[in-house]
Formats: sequence, C-alpha cells, structure tokens
Amino acid sequence: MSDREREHATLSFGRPGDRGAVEETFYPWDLTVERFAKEGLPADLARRVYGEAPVPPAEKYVRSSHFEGTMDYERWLGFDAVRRLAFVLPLLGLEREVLEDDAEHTLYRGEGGRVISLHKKSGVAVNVRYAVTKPEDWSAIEEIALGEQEQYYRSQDVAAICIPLRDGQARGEYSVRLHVEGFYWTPRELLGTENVSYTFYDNPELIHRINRFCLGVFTEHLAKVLEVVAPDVLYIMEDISGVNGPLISPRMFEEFVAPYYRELVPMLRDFGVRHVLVDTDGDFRKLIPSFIGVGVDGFLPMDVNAGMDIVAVRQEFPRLQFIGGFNKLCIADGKAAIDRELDRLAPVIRQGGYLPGADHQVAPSTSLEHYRYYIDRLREAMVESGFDVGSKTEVDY
Amino acid sequence: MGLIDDLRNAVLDGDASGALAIANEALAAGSSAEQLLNDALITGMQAVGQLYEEGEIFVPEMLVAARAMRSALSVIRPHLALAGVESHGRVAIGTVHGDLHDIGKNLVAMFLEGAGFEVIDLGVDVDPERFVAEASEGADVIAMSALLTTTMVNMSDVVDALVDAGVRSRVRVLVGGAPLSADFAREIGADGYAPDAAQAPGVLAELLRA
Repeated sequence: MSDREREHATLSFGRPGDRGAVEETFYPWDLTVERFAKEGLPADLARRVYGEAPVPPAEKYVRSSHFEGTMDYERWLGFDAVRRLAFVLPLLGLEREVLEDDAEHTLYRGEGGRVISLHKKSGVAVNVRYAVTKPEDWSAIEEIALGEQEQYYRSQDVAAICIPLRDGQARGEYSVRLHVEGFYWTPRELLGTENVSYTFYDNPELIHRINRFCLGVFTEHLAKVLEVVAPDVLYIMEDISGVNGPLISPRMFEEFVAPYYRELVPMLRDFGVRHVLVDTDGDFRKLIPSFIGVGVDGFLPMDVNAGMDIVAVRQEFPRLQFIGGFNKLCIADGKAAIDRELDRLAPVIRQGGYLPGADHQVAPSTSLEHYRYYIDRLREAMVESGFDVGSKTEVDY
Repeated sequence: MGLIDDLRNAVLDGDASGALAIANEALAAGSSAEQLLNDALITGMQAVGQLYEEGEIFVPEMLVAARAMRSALSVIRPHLALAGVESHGRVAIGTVHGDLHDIGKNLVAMFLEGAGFEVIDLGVDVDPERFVAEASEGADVIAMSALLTTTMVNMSDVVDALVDAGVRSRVRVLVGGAPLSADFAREIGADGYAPDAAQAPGVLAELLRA
C-alpha cells in the first residue's frame, strides 16, 4: 500500500493494510530544526527544510518547491511522504518600504501592507499598524491584487508548478496536502484580531468585501491548481479559536464565514478533493456544528493544551476526521509521557478517521531522540488504525 | 434608576454612542459619577464577564461592550476625580519581553478599567526594567500576559527583577495568558493567575484584599 493510499484509508474510516498513516501535522518550527541539526539531523536536510534558495518569483502565490525539503526531512525522521503545497492569496503586491531607520529600530511597511517595527538587537518585530484600518485601505490593496493575479496565476505557470506534483502523486510517491487562507483568517490578518472584531459590528460590508474577493480568487485561480492536481488533503487555515474558545460566535460564523464555505467546499469536491479539513487552533467545540453545516470533513490540529479532548469530541461527532491531537509537550517530556499519550489516543486510532500528529509544531524543547521515539511508537500504534471498523478497506481511486 | 439601567444596558449592548449620550445626560441630571461607575459600568462589565464565562457571548461582543464602557467612562472620569473618588488600585499591564500578542492583555485592561482600576498600559514586548519602573513609581499591581510557551518563561525574569530592585513587596503580581496555569504562577512567585479577562477583576480584588 502506498503512503497516499494509506493516508486515504486512514482518514476515510477504513482499515489500512498493514498500518495507518504516520504523518506530521504541520511543517516544522525552525528553532526545532536548529536543535535537531545539533543532535544528528544531517546538515543538508536541515538546510533544505524550507528550501535553500529564495522562493522563485513564479511561486509567489503557488508555493511548492521549498516543501520538497520539508518532505525529505520528514521522511528521514520516519514519517510517510507528504508533499505540501500552499495557495496564497494575492495580497503581497506592495513594495517593501523602509519608513524610518535608527540605531535601535527599523520601521518598515511590508509587502502585505502591515507596518512593522523591527528591534535590531533582539530581532523582535512588533506590528505598528495593520494593512487595513479603513475601507479605503482595502480598496487600494484589492486594486493592486488585480495586477498580482494577472501576473502570478497564469495557467501555464500554475501547470509548471503543479504537474510534477500530480505525477509524483499518481506514481504513489506521496500524498499531496494543500493549504489555503480562510474566511476568518484573511480579514483577521488584514485588520488584526481586535479591529476585525469591531469591524463585524461597525462595518460588516467590509468583511464581506474581503471574503467575496477571497472566494473569487479561489473560484478563478485556485481552480487552476485543482484542475492539474487534486490534493489528497486540503486544509483551510482559520486559527478561529483560542484557549478560551472561539473568537467569534456561531451567529457571526453564520453571517460572515459560512456563506463562503458553502460556495468553496462544493467546488473542492467537484475537483476531486476528498478530505477538506479546517485548521482552527484552540478550543473550537462551540463551532463544530457550524463547520459540519458547511460541509467540511474534519479538523486539525486538535489542540490538547487548549482543552480539545479528541476522545470526547469523537464520541460526540463519530464521523469527524482529525489530524493532530497528540500533546506536543508529551514528546518533549520523553518516553513515558509519549507512551501514556498514545494510550489516551488509542480509542480514536482504533475508530479510524484519524491521523495522529503533534497538536501544533513540535517545540525546540524537544530532543531529536524523543521525537524519533515518538515516531517509532506512533508507527507501532497505527497498526491498530481502524481496528474497530471491521474488514480491510479497498482504496478506490 | 432609569438612566443607570439604560447606561448599563448600553454597555451590555455594545452601544458606545448611546453609552456616551446617556452618561452625559445622567451627569447633567445630577447623578453622581461614583454611582454611574459602580451601578452601571462596573455591574455592566460584570454582566459581560458572566455572559462570556457562560459561553453566551464571545470576543467581539466583549470588545464592543468594553468600548461602550470606555466611552462612558471618558466623561465620568473627570467627575470622579473632582469628587475625590479613588481608583481601586493602579495596575501596570503589558505583555512580557518577546511576546507581541496583545488582544488578551487589551481585554484584561478594559475589564480592569471597567472594574474601577486605574490602568497603565505598557504595550507589548515589555522589558523587566519597565515593570520595575512602574512598581517604583506607585503601581499597586504588575500584570503580565504571554501567549507562547517560549515567552511565558520571561515572567520569572520580571519577578526576579522586582525582587532585585527591592520593590517586590510593594506590588501584587498578576499573570495570565493561554499557556499559563495557576501552578506556573506559583512556580515563578506571582501572586495570582487570571484564566481569562472576565475573571481578572475578581482575582485582582481578592489579591488586594489579602
């Protein structure tokens, strides 16, 4: 069974042949890779995790090549092969501009329009002003974005990026995992969490303008990607909740987010995307029915430290798919903690529909030794993936 | 009590312009600033906090309610000063060095203001020396926030700096943020831990009574 077939069977509540998929939730934390490089990770792999060269201009918004190094890193560690791909909204069209520069700080406006103060000594970068503080700011960004779309989403360029991925996927060399920016994420990134919250009340039409724009980009340009390669997993980045719960109410979700999912998810299905998940972060339990209502299949990363108990959620929602759910702090704590955490997750592994992975990026407090132990033990545990389902699954492509 | 109730409801509804208008009307009609603060703004924000704890409202509703409270407070505060009404305490609040996530800190600041505290907002990425300076200059409370496991450890630097500067005994130290816990607060020598913004005023009031 190929890694791709195994992933599909695992997420589909099937019973994969020898074991379920063993994959990581997110691409790695750079500080963690730095630590691993000192503890035995080959220098070449460490250097290539995020790609050695700058992102090629043609990949400004459809990013692929630097994730090849991420896949090689994960395979060296013992994970199954996952080839990542990012579709980025065309909102990086401004020229980076230095506004002030003194001995201690550089104040600059980045390509996305955010004004940032960079403390030279510590490297800490503080947001001074978000890209959108009034509707006119969005109008200006949207106008620039039109030109960005024309330049960077040309069908031939998208095909050149995506055909190699399609071919490798078809050969069973890896599964393809694509992520996009969502309909809470994008207004929040443009306005900031606090101001987007006020804007829901003060100027709801601005939120809708932004999300109509996003949907339009997906409909016209994400479609070009999907015409070439249908990702095995597509996840929508929202980061819509924190440790104290969702950042918006179900009512606000229904008004500002749901309408756009109701357009996007059917389009993804039409292009053959089988597994559509949402990257929520935090404790999002109050929004689960809302997301189910717009047709998504499941969620990641199932943040344990925010109180997301995957065992309890699975009991309440038996057909939700999950990626993540393994307390990353247990990996840092060592072998006994790793074993206990796997025992906790065993019921959900046996039920199927679940790719265990760290509940967020593995922290630099984690040793390479413990991380490899975790991956080895995970591989053993996934022998029981879907064990409660019944007979083995024939994977249908 | 009509205008008091109206003002409290304006806060609950997040109606900033309404709260401002009602506050002005109430002051013009002879309501005491202290009564408006205690019976409308503080009780209004307590109700907001309760609704948040019960899962009835979320961050946007809290923010607009706090904005309405601040709008009314802007016209009430000068009258409080004239009447010699003192705040419940002076709080210097900020996120610790290296942490840039400010929404939690901002919400706590709003709730503390709404509970009658004087709040000095130091912003984000605050060095220990600034916290020490505020403690030296009369703050009753040092309140720190962190959102990351990698930055929360910097809170102990602040506590150590307060001790080294000889001002630790002058202040209460209150901490909060997503990765924190009451155990962590105890480990670093903080006096109190607030699980969320809505609970911060109650936790702080308890600390100051102790």
